[in-house]
Parts: sequence; C-alpha cells; structure tokens
Amino acid sequence: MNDQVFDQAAWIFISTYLCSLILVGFLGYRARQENTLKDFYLAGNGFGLVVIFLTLYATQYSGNTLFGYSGKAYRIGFAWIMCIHFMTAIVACFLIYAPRLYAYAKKYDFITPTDYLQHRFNSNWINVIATLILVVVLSNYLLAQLMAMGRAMQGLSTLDPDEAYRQGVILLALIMVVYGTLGGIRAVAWTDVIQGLVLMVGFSLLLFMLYKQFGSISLATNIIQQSPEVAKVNVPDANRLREWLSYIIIIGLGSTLYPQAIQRIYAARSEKVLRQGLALMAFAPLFTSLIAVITGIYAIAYVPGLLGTDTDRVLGIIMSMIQQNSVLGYWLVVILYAAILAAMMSTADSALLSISSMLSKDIYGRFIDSNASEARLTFMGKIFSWCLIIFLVWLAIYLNDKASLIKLLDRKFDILIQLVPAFMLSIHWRGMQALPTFIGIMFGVTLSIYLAFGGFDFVQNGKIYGFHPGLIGLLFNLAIAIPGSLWINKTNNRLLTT
Amino acid sequence: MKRPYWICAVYVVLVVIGIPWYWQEESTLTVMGLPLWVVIAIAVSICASMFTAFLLLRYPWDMDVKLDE
Repeated sequence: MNDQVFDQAAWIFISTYLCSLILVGFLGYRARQENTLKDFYLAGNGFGLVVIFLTLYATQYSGNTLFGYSGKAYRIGFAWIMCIHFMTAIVACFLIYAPRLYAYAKKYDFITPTDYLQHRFNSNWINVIATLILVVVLSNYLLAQLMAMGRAMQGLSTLDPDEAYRQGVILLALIMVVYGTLGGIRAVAWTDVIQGLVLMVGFSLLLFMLYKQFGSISLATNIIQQSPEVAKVNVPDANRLREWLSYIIIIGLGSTLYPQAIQRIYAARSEKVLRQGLALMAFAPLFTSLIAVITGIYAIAYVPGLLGTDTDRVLGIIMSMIQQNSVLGYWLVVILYAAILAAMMSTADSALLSISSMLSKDIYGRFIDSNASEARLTFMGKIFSWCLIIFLVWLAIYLNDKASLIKLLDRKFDILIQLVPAFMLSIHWRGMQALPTFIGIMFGVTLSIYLAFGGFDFVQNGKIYGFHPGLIGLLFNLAIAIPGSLWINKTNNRLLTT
Repeated sequence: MKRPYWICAVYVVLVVIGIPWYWQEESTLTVMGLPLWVVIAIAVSICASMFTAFLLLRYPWDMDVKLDE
C-alpha cells in the first residue's frame, strides 16, 4: 500500500494513540474486582450501553471493512451495495437466538460459547467439535488482521517493505497482547470504545474528504457511465444476484456465531442494554459499509486501471491524493490512518481474548485439569494468549508472500455456519438430540470443504451458481440433525410407553 | 409462545425488494446521482435497520425459556 509518507508530528500522534491503548490496559487491570474467569472475560457484572455498542461496533467492523470493501466495490461496482444488506442481516439474525441465550447466560453464568452447548447437550463430542471450529475460524480471522496490520505499516514506513511488514506485525501484536492480558475484556472493551470512536470519526471524515476532493457522487457515476467500466453501474447479472442472497444468509447467520459476538451478549449488564446496543448496531452499516462502497465507486471514476490485488490499494491511493491536497487533508488522513489501525486492532484483540477463553475453559479446564481453580484458568488463558500470538505472528510473517495459502484458509463462514443448528435451532427446540447434531456438523463441514476445494466444474470462484458451499453443507447438516432428532425422540417415546 | 411468522415475512419481503432481481440489466435510470436500483437497495436497508431497531426496542423478547429444562 506504500502510498502515504508521514512526518514526525504524525508519527507522534499515532504513537501516542498506540501507547494510550497500553494505558487503558493498565487501567483495566486496576479495575478488576476478583481473579476469576467471569471478571477477566465478561467484566463481572457487565457493561453499560456506550461500551456495549462501541465494543460491538469496533469488533464487527475490521480493517477489511475499509480496505476489502472499498477494493471489492472497485472490482464489481455498485453491486457491492449488497454489503450493507448482509451487515444489517447480522443484527437481524441476532434476534433468532440472542434473547434466549442471554437469559441462559445470566442464569447459568456462561463464559464461553460452548458453555451453552455443554448445558444444552451435555456432550463432549459436540463441545470438542464446536470449540475446534470456533478456535480454527477465529485464529484464521486473527491471522488476517495481523497480516493487515503488517500491510498497513508497509504503507506508513520508509523501510524496506518486508522489514516494515515484519516490524508492523510484531509491534502491533505486542501492544495488543500486552493490554489484552493486563486487563482482559475490560481493557479490550475500553480500548474498543476509543477505537470505535476513532473509527466512526474516520469514516465520517472519509466521506467529507471524498466530497471535497472529487465532488458529488453523481459526477463519479457519470464518469463511470461514460467509461469502459459502465457495467459496474448496471444491474448485476443473475449469478451476482444469487451471490447477493447467499451473502445475506451466510454472513448474517455466521457472524452472529463469532465467539466474541456471543461473549458480548453475555457481557451486557441488562436485557435493556443489550437491546439498545443491538438497535444502534442495526444502523451501523449505513455509516460504515456504505461509505466504504462509496469510496470504491469514487475510485472507479478517478483511479481507473487497477487490476488484481492492486484493487485493494484503492483506499490508500485515494488517501494519498487527499493528503497531498492541503494541510487539513494531510491531518485528516493521519486520523483516518489511526482509524484503520483501530479497526484492525479492535477486531484482533477481541478474537484473541475469545480464543484464550475457549482454550482455557473448554479444553484445559474440561479435559486437562478439571479441578483447576478460577485463578489458575485465568492464568492459563493469559499463557494461551501469548503462545497463540507468538505462533500467529510467525505465521503472518511466513505467509506474507504466499497469497494462495491464505486463500485456502478463507472459508471461515462456510465452516462456522455449520454450528447454526447447534446454537440457533436447539435453543428453540427442546427435542433436538446430541448425536444427530454432532453428525450433522461433521457432515456439513466435510461437505462444505469438499465442495469448495474439490475442483468441481460447477464451482466457480468458490461458489455454486452464486451460492456459498457452506449453505449446501448447512442444508445437509439440517437434513441430518432434524430427522435424526425426531427419530430418536420417537424411539425414546416408544420405549417409555412400553 | 406465539410464533413470530409475520416478522419473518417482513424480512423476506425486504430481501425480495432489496435485491434487484426485477430490473433489466441495461437500466440506466438514476436518482440523486445513483442508479435507481442502488437507491432502492439503500432505502430497503434503511427500512430493515428501522424494523430491526423497532423489534429490539419495542417488541417483547421471548425470554420465557423454562430455564431448568
């Protein structure tokens, strides 16, 4: 992205911002009430409205929203407006199970997502497979954020690109793990407040800067309509429309199953706070994703000719153009850059904390040392955080120039969505049984991966006639879990009556 | 508990209207500098946000979960 060059004052601003995150981590450490899992991972009695909303917001919108969405809009044009639909669908999908899950969590003091599954199914098989899926998916997500941090630093530094990438990944990951292990969820949520605010200010500034630099969006639309890229203004073709629907379903359902999202449901201080926080989140796509799409549209008009992975640089290029225009533009870009770092770090720290909670409580506490005290499990969570971040930093550096390997990892929603029956269906249907649920998950995951990577002619760009393989896997998953549970219930009833 | 089928129906209608299935590919109508189909997609998104916020703030949540079963 090597598009910005910042002076010393800008570096002092960004460094101060990064140091403030460690200070917040220390304040989170000072604010702890007891050395327990509930205090470390859910902040004891939970958070109020402002913190819940901003932590949901900062966690939901990552660096990918800024770079990835503007790049995708550049590649496919106005059709990427679908992203505001699927980001809204996430909040709507929370309605399916968040109210009941919240009630269960408060009653039984849940800490991790699989605490619900343990309570509901009492099956080690389901716990292990669910924890594995969640940890793998979340590690992939965390890895992507670490790599994005490295790329962001490449754009800022005058160092050799590879060296800048390495230093960026290590430095930002170190800051993140320090404040995360100091203050737990308090540090993560409080830094999310700062990061969420910076992110919102950054997006608003971006819209303002785009208008100031290039004029109205209608000018951009006109330019595109007169150019060879006119297809990017036209109504999408049938395949893209099916993909639109597929995205709404898979991201809507899948994103609500992210462990960090589930733990924020647990961490709401009251039902009212949770309702209000989610209600505010319902409008977030309109002032976040939509702005990223508009950025991509401006780029089609004013930065034509980018191809392949270069298209993900459109935001950096546009920022560079604005930066050179005036002193105001320069400082607006500095703030926007802080927002980009904020977006990446706030998503990554939440993922890291969630993984450590699952490894500590669901694996170590359940299978290795079932008599471990709360203090011991909290300590082990911190150890797991450090070990995981060291491994993922190494992997992020190793994978820097191996894009094809990263693509292999990028099927997270296809896998994650296989947990829909275990969480969303079982919370409403008491007849759901453990064995068919487990077999359904296994079959769904296997089928999704096989379809995605099997080299079939009918799979184009990782999708089947526009639909994600994970949705096909989910249909088969449900086709096993529902009839299987009905059959077991029927058999049990027959045994009881005889 | 009453099954909230009407809520599902509203979301289905929003999806049907929001995705531009029913437009011809070469449509060039624009409103406020944006293609009309994009304006409709954004308008539907605003409606979906408002409807979701209404459900979150005003609609009684199904918290009757017989927690010990």
